[in-house]
Amino acid sequence: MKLLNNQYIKTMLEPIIGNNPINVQMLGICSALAVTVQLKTAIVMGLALTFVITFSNLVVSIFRKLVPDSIRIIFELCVIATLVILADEFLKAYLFGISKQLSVFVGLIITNCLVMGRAETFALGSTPGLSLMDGFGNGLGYSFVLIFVAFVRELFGSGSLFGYKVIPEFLYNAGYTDMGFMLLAPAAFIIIGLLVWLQNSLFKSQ
Amino acid sequence: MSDNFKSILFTIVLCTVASLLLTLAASRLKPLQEKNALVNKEANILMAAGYIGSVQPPAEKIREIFKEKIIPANSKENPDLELYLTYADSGEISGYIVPFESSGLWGRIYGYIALENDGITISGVSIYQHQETPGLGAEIDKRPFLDNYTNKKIIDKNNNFKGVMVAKGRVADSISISERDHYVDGISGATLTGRFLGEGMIETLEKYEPISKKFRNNNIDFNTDNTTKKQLKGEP
Repeated sequence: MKLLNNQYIKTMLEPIIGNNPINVQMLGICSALAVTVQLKTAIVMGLALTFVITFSNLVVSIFRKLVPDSIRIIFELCVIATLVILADEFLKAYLFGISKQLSVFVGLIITNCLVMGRAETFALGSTPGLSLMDGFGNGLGYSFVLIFVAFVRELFGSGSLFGYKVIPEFLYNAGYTDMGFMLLAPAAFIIIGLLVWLQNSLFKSQ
Repeated sequence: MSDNFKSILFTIVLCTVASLLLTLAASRLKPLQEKNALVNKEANILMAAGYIGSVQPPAEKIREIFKEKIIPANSKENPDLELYLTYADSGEISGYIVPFESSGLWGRIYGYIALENDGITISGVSIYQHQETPGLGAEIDKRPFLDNYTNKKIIDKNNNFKGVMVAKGRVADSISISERDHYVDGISGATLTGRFLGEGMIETLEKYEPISKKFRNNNIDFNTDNTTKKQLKGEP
Protein backbone atom coordinates (compact mmCIF):
# COMPACT_ATOMS: atom_id res chain seq x y z
CA MET A 1 0.00 0.00 0.00
CA LYS A 2 2.95 2.25 0.67
CA LEU A 3 3.95 1.99 -2.97
CA LEU A 4 0.51 3.12 -4.11
CA ASN A 5 0.73 6.19 -1.91
CA ASN A 6 3.95 7.26 -3.56
CA GLN A 7 3.27 10.53 -5.33
CA TYR A 8 5.03 9.45 -8.52
CA ILE A 9 3.22 6.15 -8.83
CA LYS A 10 -0.07 7.89 -8.13
CA THR A 11 0.58 10.44 -10.86
CA MET A 12 1.29 7.65 -13.28
CA LEU A 13 -1.66 5.43 -12.40
CA GLU A 14 -4.31 8.12 -12.30
CA PRO A 15 -4.58 8.71 -16.06
CA ILE A 16 -4.60 5.00 -16.78
CA ILE A 17 -7.89 4.35 -15.04
CA GLY A 18 -9.49 7.22 -13.18
CA ASN A 19 -8.64 10.10 -15.48
CA ASN A 20 -8.15 8.24 -18.75
CA PRO A 21 -7.18 10.60 -21.59
CA ILE A 22 -9.66 9.17 -24.07
CA ASN A 23 -12.54 8.00 -21.87
CA VAL A 24 -12.58 10.90 -19.44
CA GLN A 25 -10.57 13.78 -20.86
CA MET A 26 -11.97 13.06 -24.35
CA LEU A 27 -8.64 13.81 -26.00
CA GLY A 28 -6.94 12.02 -28.87
CA ILE A 29 -10.14 10.49 -30.22
CA CYS A 30 -9.35 11.22 -33.86
CA SER A 31 -6.35 8.92 -33.96
CA ALA A 32 -8.18 6.35 -31.85
CA LEU A 33 -10.68 6.08 -34.68
CA ALA A 34 -8.13 5.91 -37.44
CA VAL A 35 -5.48 3.43 -36.35
CA THR A 36 -7.52 0.83 -34.48
CA VAL A 37 -8.48 -1.41 -37.39
CA GLN A 38 -5.60 -3.74 -36.50
CA LEU A 39 -3.90 -4.54 -33.21
CA LYS A 40 -0.41 -4.16 -34.67
CA THR A 41 -0.90 -0.58 -35.77
CA ALA A 42 -2.70 0.32 -32.53
CA ILE A 43 0.20 -0.93 -30.41
CA VAL A 44 2.82 0.88 -32.46
CA MET A 45 0.76 4.06 -32.40
CA GLY A 46 0.38 3.72 -28.63
CA LEU A 47 4.14 3.30 -28.22
CA ALA A 48 4.89 6.28 -30.46
CA LEU A 49 2.50 8.51 -28.56
CA THR A 50 3.76 7.31 -25.18
CA PHE A 51 7.31 8.12 -26.26
CA VAL A 52 6.34 11.58 -27.46
CA ILE A 53 4.16 12.57 -24.51
CA THR A 54 6.61 11.25 -21.90
CA PHE A 55 9.57 13.19 -23.23
CA SER A 56 7.64 16.29 -24.22
CA ASN A 57 6.34 16.49 -20.65
CA LEU A 58 9.86 16.01 -19.31
CA VAL A 59 11.48 18.62 -21.55
CA VAL A 60 8.73 21.19 -21.09
CA SER A 61 8.91 20.71 -17.34
CA ILE A 62 12.71 21.09 -17.23
CA PHE A 63 12.57 24.39 -19.07
CA ARG A 64 9.33 25.65 -17.49
CA LYS A 65 11.01 28.42 -15.51
CA LEU A 66 13.25 29.48 -18.37
CA VAL A 67 10.66 29.81 -21.09
CA PRO A 68 9.32 33.34 -21.60
CA ASP A 69 5.58 33.20 -21.09
CA SER A 70 4.84 34.87 -24.44
CA ILE A 71 6.31 32.04 -26.49
CA ARG A 72 5.50 29.05 -24.31
CA ILE A 73 3.01 27.55 -26.78
CA ILE A 74 5.55 27.83 -29.57
CA PHE A 75 8.11 26.19 -27.33
CA GLU A 76 5.79 23.31 -26.48
CA LEU A 77 4.87 22.81 -30.10
CA CYS A 78 8.49 22.85 -31.18
CA VAL A 79 9.44 20.21 -28.61
CA ILE A 80 6.48 18.01 -29.53
CA ALA A 81 7.06 18.36 -33.28
CA THR A 82 10.73 17.44 -32.91
CA LEU A 83 9.88 14.31 -30.93
CA VAL A 84 7.14 13.30 -33.35
CA ILE A 85 9.43 13.62 -36.37
CA LEU A 86 12.06 11.57 -34.54
CA ALA A 87 9.50 8.85 -33.83
CA ASP A 88 8.31 8.93 -37.44
CA GLU A 89 11.84 8.62 -38.81
CA PHE A 90 12.57 5.68 -36.53
CA LEU A 91 9.40 3.90 -37.59
CA LYS A 92 10.24 4.43 -41.24
CA ALA A 93 13.67 2.95 -40.69
CA TYR A 94 12.87 0.01 -38.43
CA LEU A 95 9.15 -0.79 -38.83
CA PHE A 96 8.54 0.16 -42.43
CA GLY A 97 5.46 -1.98 -43.00
CA ILE A 98 3.64 -0.60 -40.00
CA SER A 99 4.73 2.96 -40.61
CA LYS A 100 3.18 2.67 -44.07
CA GLN A 101 -0.12 1.59 -42.55
CA LEU A 102 -0.04 4.36 -39.95
CA SER A 103 0.74 6.81 -42.77
CA VAL A 104 -0.06 10.35 -41.68
CA PHE A 105 -1.24 9.47 -38.21
CA VAL A 106 2.21 9.39 -36.63
CA GLY A 107 2.81 12.88 -37.97
CA LEU A 108 -0.56 13.92 -36.64
CA ILE A 109 0.52 13.16 -33.07
CA ILE A 110 1.76 16.75 -33.23
CA THR A 111 -1.81 17.96 -33.31
CA ASN A 112 -3.04 15.41 -30.79
CA CYS A 113 -4.65 17.58 -28.12
CA LEU A 114 -3.56 15.07 -25.54
CA VAL A 115 0.16 15.83 -25.87
CA MET A 116 -0.28 19.57 -25.94
CA GLY A 117 -2.88 19.41 -23.20
CA ARG A 118 -0.62 17.60 -20.75
CA ALA A 119 2.27 19.96 -21.51
CA GLU A 120 0.07 23.00 -20.88
CA THR A 121 -1.86 21.81 -17.86
CA PHE A 122 0.60 19.58 -16.08
CA ALA A 123 4.22 19.89 -17.18
CA LEU A 124 4.31 23.70 -17.02
CA GLY A 125 3.45 23.59 -13.32
CA SER A 126 5.17 20.46 -12.02
CA THR A 127 8.62 19.07 -11.38
CA PRO A 128 10.33 17.07 -14.15
CA GLY A 129 9.98 13.76 -12.30
CA LEU A 130 6.25 14.11 -11.80
CA SER A 131 5.76 15.36 -15.36
CA LEU A 132 7.60 12.36 -16.74
CA MET A 133 5.34 10.00 -14.81
CA ASP A 134 2.24 11.93 -15.84
CA GLY A 135 3.22 11.76 -19.49
CA PHE A 136 4.02 8.08 -19.25
CA GLY A 137 0.74 7.34 -17.49
CA ASN A 138 -1.29 9.27 -20.03
CA GLY A 139 0.53 7.51 -22.85
CA LEU A 140 -0.29 4.14 -21.30
CA GLY A 141 -3.90 5.13 -20.67
CA TYR A 142 -4.22 6.13 -24.31
CA SER A 143 -2.50 2.94 -25.48
CA PHE A 144 -4.75 0.67 -23.42
CA VAL A 145 -7.90 2.17 -24.90
CA LEU A 146 -6.42 1.94 -28.40
CA ILE A 147 -5.44 -1.67 -27.92
CA PHE A 148 -8.84 -2.60 -26.51
CA VAL A 149 -10.69 -0.94 -29.39
CA ALA A 150 -8.33 -2.52 -31.93
CA PHE A 151 -8.81 -5.93 -30.31
CA VAL A 152 -12.58 -5.74 -30.72
CA ARG A 153 -12.39 -4.30 -34.23
CA GLU A 154 -9.84 -6.75 -35.58
CA LEU A 155 -11.50 -9.75 -33.98
CA PHE A 156 -15.00 -9.02 -35.27
CA GLY A 157 -14.05 -7.09 -38.39
CA SER A 158 -11.43 -9.39 -39.90
CA GLY A 159 -11.74 -12.48 -37.72
CA SER A 160 -8.06 -12.25 -36.84
CA LEU A 161 -5.67 -10.99 -34.15
CA PHE A 162 -2.24 -9.61 -35.06
CA GLY A 163 -3.04 -10.70 -38.62
CA TYR A 164 -3.52 -14.36 -37.69
CA LYS A 165 -6.93 -15.92 -38.27
CA VAL A 166 -8.53 -16.84 -34.95
CA ILE A 167 -12.12 -17.46 -36.01
CA PRO A 168 -12.07 -21.12 -37.09
CA GLU A 169 -12.93 -22.03 -40.67
CA PHE A 170 -15.94 -24.18 -39.74
CA LEU A 171 -17.74 -21.16 -38.34
CA TYR A 172 -17.39 -19.44 -41.71
CA ASN A 173 -18.65 -22.58 -43.40
CA ALA A 174 -21.60 -22.55 -41.04
CA GLY A 175 -22.53 -19.09 -42.23
CA TYR A 176 -20.58 -16.74 -39.96
CA THR A 177 -19.37 -13.57 -41.67
CA ASP A 178 -17.02 -10.83 -40.53
CA MET A 179 -18.64 -7.55 -39.60
CA GLY A 180 -17.48 -5.16 -42.30
CA PHE A 181 -18.86 -2.31 -40.22
CA MET A 182 -16.16 -2.89 -37.60
CA LEU A 183 -13.53 -1.82 -40.11
CA LEU A 184 -15.10 1.60 -40.55
CA ALA A 185 -14.53 4.58 -38.27
CA PRO A 186 -18.10 4.71 -36.86
CA ALA A 187 -17.50 1.32 -35.23
CA ALA A 188 -14.65 2.81 -33.21
CA PHE A 189 -16.95 5.66 -32.19
CA ILE A 190 -19.49 3.19 -30.84
CA ILE A 191 -16.88 1.11 -28.99
CA ILE A 192 -15.33 4.21 -27.43
CA GLY A 193 -18.80 5.44 -26.51
CA LEU A 194 -19.49 2.19 -24.72
CA LEU A 195 -16.14 2.47 -22.93
CA VAL A 196 -16.99 5.99 -21.76
CA TRP A 197 -20.32 4.74 -20.48
CA LEU A 198 -18.65 1.87 -18.66
CA GLN A 199 -16.08 4.19 -17.13
CA ASN A 200 -18.70 6.69 -16.00
CA SER A 201 -20.90 4.10 -14.39
CA LEU A 202 -17.95 2.46 -12.65
CA PHE A 203 -16.01 5.44 -11.35
CA LYS A 204 -18.10 8.60 -11.50
CA SER A 205 -21.08 7.35 -9.55
CA GLN A 206 -19.44 7.58 -6.12
CA MET B 1 12.61 45.37 -24.59
CA SER B 2 14.74 42.90 -22.70
CA ASP B 3 11.76 40.58 -22.52
CA ASN B 4 11.51 40.59 -26.28
CA PHE B 5 15.20 39.99 -26.58
CA LYS B 6 15.01 37.04 -24.24
CA SER B 7 12.13 35.54 -26.25
CA ILE B 8 14.01 35.89 -29.50
CA LEU B 9 17.20 34.46 -28.07
CA PHE B 10 15.32 31.54 -26.58
CA THR B 11 13.59 30.83 -29.89
CA ILE B 12 16.86 30.88 -31.79
CA VAL B 13 18.54 28.47 -29.40
CA LEU B 14 15.48 26.22 -29.38
CA CYS B 15 15.25 26.07 -33.16
CA THR B 16 18.96 25.42 -33.56
CA VAL B 17 18.94 22.55 -31.11
CA ALA B 18 15.79 21.02 -32.59
CA SER B 19 17.03 21.26 -36.16
CA LEU B 20 20.41 19.79 -35.25
CA LEU B 21 18.71 16.85 -33.59
CA LEU B 22 16.45 16.24 -36.57
CA THR B 23 19.26 16.58 -39.09
CA LEU B 24 21.30 14.07 -37.17
CA ALA B 25 18.45 11.57 -36.98
CA ALA B 26 17.47 12.01 -40.62
CA SER B 27 21.00 11.58 -41.93
CA ARG B 28 21.72 8.55 -39.76
CA LEU B 29 18.48 6.76 -40.62
CA LYS B 30 18.37 7.62 -44.31
CA PRO B 31 20.24 4.55 -45.63
CA LEU B 32 17.89 2.25 -43.73
CA GLN B 33 14.81 4.08 -44.96
CA GLU B 34 15.96 4.04 -48.56
CA LYS B 35 16.64 0.34 -48.32
CA ASN B 36 13.14 -0.22 -46.93
CA ALA B 37 11.57 1.69 -49.80
CA LEU B 38 13.59 -0.31 -52.32
CA VAL B 39 12.71 -3.65 -50.72
CA ASN B 40 9.06 -2.59 -50.69
CA LYS B 41 9.19 -1.85 -54.41
CA GLU B 42 10.96 -5.12 -55.19
CA ALA B 43 8.52 -7.09 -53.06
CA ASN B 44 5.63 -5.66 -55.04
CA ILE B 45 7.21 -6.46 -58.38
CA LEU B 46 7.75 -10.02 -57.16
CA MET B 47 4.17 -10.17 -55.95
CA ALA B 48 2.85 -9.06 -59.34
CA ALA B 49 5.01 -11.69 -61.02
CA GLY B 50 3.71 -14.31 -58.61
CA TYR B 51 7.06 -15.21 -57.03
CA ILE B 52 5.87 -14.36 -53.52
CA GLY B 53 2.43 -14.35 -51.93
CA SER B 54 0.75 -11.70 -49.85
CA VAL B 55 2.77 -12.71 -46.77
CA GLN B 56 6.11 -11.01 -47.26
CA PRO B 57 9.30 -12.93 -46.53
CA PRO B 58 12.11 -11.08 -44.72
CA ALA B 59 13.92 -8.27 -46.54
CA GLU B 60 17.08 -10.26 -47.38
CA LYS B 61 15.03 -13.02 -48.94
CA ILE B 62 13.10 -10.51 -51.07
CA ARG B 63 16.31 -8.95 -52.35
CA GLU B 64 17.71 -12.37 -53.14
CA ILE B 65 14.67 -13.54 -55.10
CA PHE B 66 14.47 -10.21 -56.91
CA LYS B 67 18.11 -10.40 -58.00
CA GLU B 68 17.62 -13.93 -59.19
CA LYS B 69 14.35 -13.54 -61.06
CA ILE B 70 13.80 -9.97 -62.21
CA ILE B 71 15.84 -8.05 -64.78
CA PRO B 72 15.25 -4.30 -65.22
CA ALA B 73 15.16 -3.42 -68.91
CA ASN B 74 14.05 -0.83 -71.42
CA SER B 75 13.23 -0.81 -75.09
CA LYS B 76 15.22 1.16 -77.63
CA GLU B 77 12.17 2.99 -78.96
CA ASN B 78 10.79 3.97 -75.56
CA PRO B 79 13.74 4.19 -73.22
CA ASP B 80 11.71 6.18 -70.66
CA LEU B 81 9.23 3.42 -69.93
CA GLU B 82 10.12 1.53 -66.77
CA LEU B 83 10.09 -2.19 -67.48
CA TYR B 84 11.11 -5.42 -65.77
CA LEU B 85 11.60 -8.80 -67.41
CA THR B 86 11.22 -12.27 -65.96
CA TYR B 87 13.00 -15.30 -67.35
CA ALA B 88 11.96 -18.93 -67.48
CA ASP B 89 14.47 -21.61 -66.49
CA SER B 90 15.27 -22.15 -70.15
CA GLY B 91 16.58 -18.59 -70.38
CA GLU B 92 13.67 -17.37 -72.46
CA ILE B 93 11.82 -14.23 -71.44
CA SER B 94 8.70 -15.48 -69.71
CA GLY B 95 7.00 -12.16 -69.15
CA TYR B 96 7.29 -8.49 -68.34
CA ILE B 97 6.19 -6.23 -65.52
CA VAL B 98 5.13 -2.61 -65.85
CA PRO B 99 4.43 -0.07 -63.10
CA PHE B 100 1.05 1.64 -63.13
CA GLU B 101 -0.40 4.69 -61.51
CA SER B 102 -4.07 5.53 -61.32
CA SER B 103 -6.48 7.99 -59.81
CA GLY B 104 -8.52 6.63 -56.94
CA LEU B 105 -11.48 7.82 -54.94
CA TRP B 106 -9.35 9.56 -52.28
CA GLY B 107 -5.84 9.57 -53.72
CA ARG B 108 -3.47 8.02 -56.23
CA ILE B 109 -3.18 4.25 -56.57
CA TYR B 110 0.22 2.70 -57.36
CA GLY B 111 1.05 -0.82 -58.35
CA TYR B 112 2.54 -3.24 -60.88
CA ILE B 113 1.02 -5.29 -63.70
CA ALA B 114 2.76 -8.48 -64.81
CA LEU B 115 2.07 -9.74 -68.34
CA GLU B 116 3.03 -12.98 -70.05
CA ASN B 117 5.41 -13.06 -73.00
CA ASP B 118 2.52 -13.26 -75.48
CA GLY B 119 1.94 -9.56 -74.78
CA ILE B 120 -1.76 -10.22 -74.22
CA THR B 121 -2.35 -12.10 -70.99
CA ILE B 122 -2.09 -10.58 -67.52
CA SER B 123 -0.36 -12.95 -65.13
CA GLY B 124 -0.66 -10.88 -61.96
CA VAL B 125 -1.23 -7.47 -60.40
CA SER B 126 -0.04 -5.92 -57.16
CA ILE B 127 -0.98 -2.64 -55.51
CA TYR B 128 1.33 -1.10 -52.94
CA GLN B 129 0.00 2.35 -52.25
CA HIS B 130 -3.52 3.77 -52.12
CA GLN B 131 -5.85 5.70 -49.85
CA GLU B 132 -9.14 3.97 -50.61
CA THR B 133 -11.87 3.49 -48.01
CA PRO B 134 -10.90 0.79 -45.49
CA GLY B 135 -13.12 -2.25 -45.77
CA LEU B 136 -14.49 -1.19 -49.17
CA GLY B 137 -12.15 0.26 -51.80
CA ALA B 138 -9.12 -0.73 -49.75
CA GLU B 139 -9.86 -4.34 -50.64
CA ILE B 140 -8.19 -3.69 -54.00
CA ASP B 141 -4.78 -4.49 -52.53
CA LYS B 142 -5.93 -7.85 -51.16
CA ARG B 143 -5.43 -11.22 -52.84
CA PRO B 144 -9.09 -12.16 -53.44
CA PHE B 145 -9.53 -9.11 -55.65
CA LEU B 146 -6.11 -9.09 -57.30
CA ASP B 147 -6.28 -12.78 -58.15
CA ASN B 148 -9.18 -11.93 -60.47
CA TYR B 149 -6.73 -10.36 -62.88
CA THR B 150 -4.88 -13.57 -63.66
CA ASN B 151 -5.43 -14.71 -67.25
CA LYS B 152 -7.38 -11.61 -68.30
CA LYS B 153 -6.54 -10.31 -71.80
CA ILE B 154 -5.66 -6.76 -72.74
CA ILE B 155 -6.63 -7.10 -76.45
CA ASP B 156 -9.68 -8.69 -78.02
CA LYS B 157 -9.79 -11.34 -80.74
CA ASN B 158 -9.43 -8.75 -83.50
CA ASN B 159 -6.24 -7.42 -81.93
CA ASN B 160 -7.90 -4.22 -80.76
CA PHE B 161 -6.70 -2.86 -77.46
CA LYS B 162 -9.30 -3.25 -74.70
CA GLY B 163 -7.53 -3.31 -71.35
CA VAL B 164 -9.16 -4.69 -68.24
CA MET B 165 -12.00 -2.91 -66.48
CA VAL B 166 -13.59 -3.58 -63.11
CA ALA B 167 -17.17 -4.76 -63.47
CA LYS B 168 -20.01 -3.53 -61.28
CA GLY B 169 -20.68 -6.64 -59.23
CA ARG B 170 -19.75 -10.06 -60.47
CA VAL B 171 -18.51 -10.52 -64.05
CA ALA B 172 -20.65 -13.62 -64.53
CA ASP B 173 -23.82 -11.66 -63.77
CA SER B 174 -23.33 -8.48 -65.72
CA ILE B 175 -20.90 -8.96 -68.60
CA SER B 176 -21.58 -10.77 -71.87
CA ILE B 177 -19.49 -13.88 -72.49
CA SER B 178 -17.44 -12.36 -75.31
CA GLU B 179 -16.34 -9.49 -73.04
CA ARG B 180 -15.48 -11.45 -69.93
CA ASP B 181 -11.77 -11.54 -70.68
CA HIS B 182 -11.66 -7.79 -70.16
CA TYR B 183 -13.47 -7.49 -66.83
CA VAL B 184 -12.75 -8.51 -63.26
CA ASP B 185 -15.27 -8.90 -60.43
CA GLY B 186 -15.99 -5.59 -58.72
CA ILE B 187 -16.14 -4.99 -54.98
CA SER B 188 -19.59 -4.11 -53.71
CA GLY B 189 -19.57 -0.64 -52.19
CA ALA B 190 -16.47 0.35 -54.14
CA THR B 191 -17.83 1.02 -57.61
CA LEU B 192 -15.99 4.31 -58.00
CA THR B 193 -12.66 2.91 -56.87
CA GLY B 194 -13.12 0.14 -59.42
CA ARG B 195 -13.90 2.58 -62.20
CA PHE B 196 -10.87 4.74 -61.42
CA LEU B 197 -8.61 1.71 -61.17
CA GLY B 198 -9.82 0.29 -64.49
CA GLU B 199 -9.31 3.60 -66.28
CA GLY B 200 -5.86 4.08 -64.74
CA MET B 201 -4.75 0.62 -65.79
CA ILE B 202 -5.99 1.11 -69.35
CA GLU B 203 -4.09 4.39 -69.55
CA THR B 204 -0.88 2.69 -68.44
CA LEU B 205 -1.34 -0.35 -70.66
CA GLU B 206 -2.03 1.90 -73.65
CA LYS B 207 1.22 3.72 -72.97
CA TYR B 208 3.00 0.37 -72.95
CA GLU B 209 1.25 -0.85 -76.10
CA PRO B 210 4.40 -0.43 -78.27
CA ILE B 211 6.22 -2.81 -75.95
CA SER B 212 3.31 -5.25 -75.74
CA LYS B 213 3.15 -5.25 -79.55
CA LYS B 214 6.77 -6.29 -79.71
CA PHE B 215 5.97 -9.24 -77.52
CA ARG B 216 2.99 -10.14 -79.70
CA ASN B 217 5.14 -10.03 -82.84
CA ASN B 218 7.89 -11.94 -81.10
CA ASN B 219 10.24 -9.07 -81.88
CA ILE B 220 12.00 -8.84 -78.55
CA ASP B 221 15.12 -6.73 -78.30
CA PHE B 222 15.52 -5.03 -74.95
CA ASN B 223 18.48 -3.40 -73.35
CA THR B 224 19.17 -5.27 -70.18
CA ASP B 225 22.02 -5.58 -67.82
CA ASN B 226 23.87 -8.23 -69.83
CA THR B 227 25.92 -9.78 -67.08
CA THR B 228 22.90 -10.76 -65.01
CA LYS B 229 21.14 -12.07 -68.07
CA LYS B 230 24.05 -14.32 -68.98
CA GLN B 231 24.33 -15.63 -65.47
CA LEU B 232 20.71 -16.49 -65.65
CA LYS B 233 21.15 -18.40 -68.85
CA GLY B 234 23.98 -20.31 -67.23
CA GLU B 235 26.63 -18.92 -69.59
CA PRO B 236 30.07 -18.06 -68.29
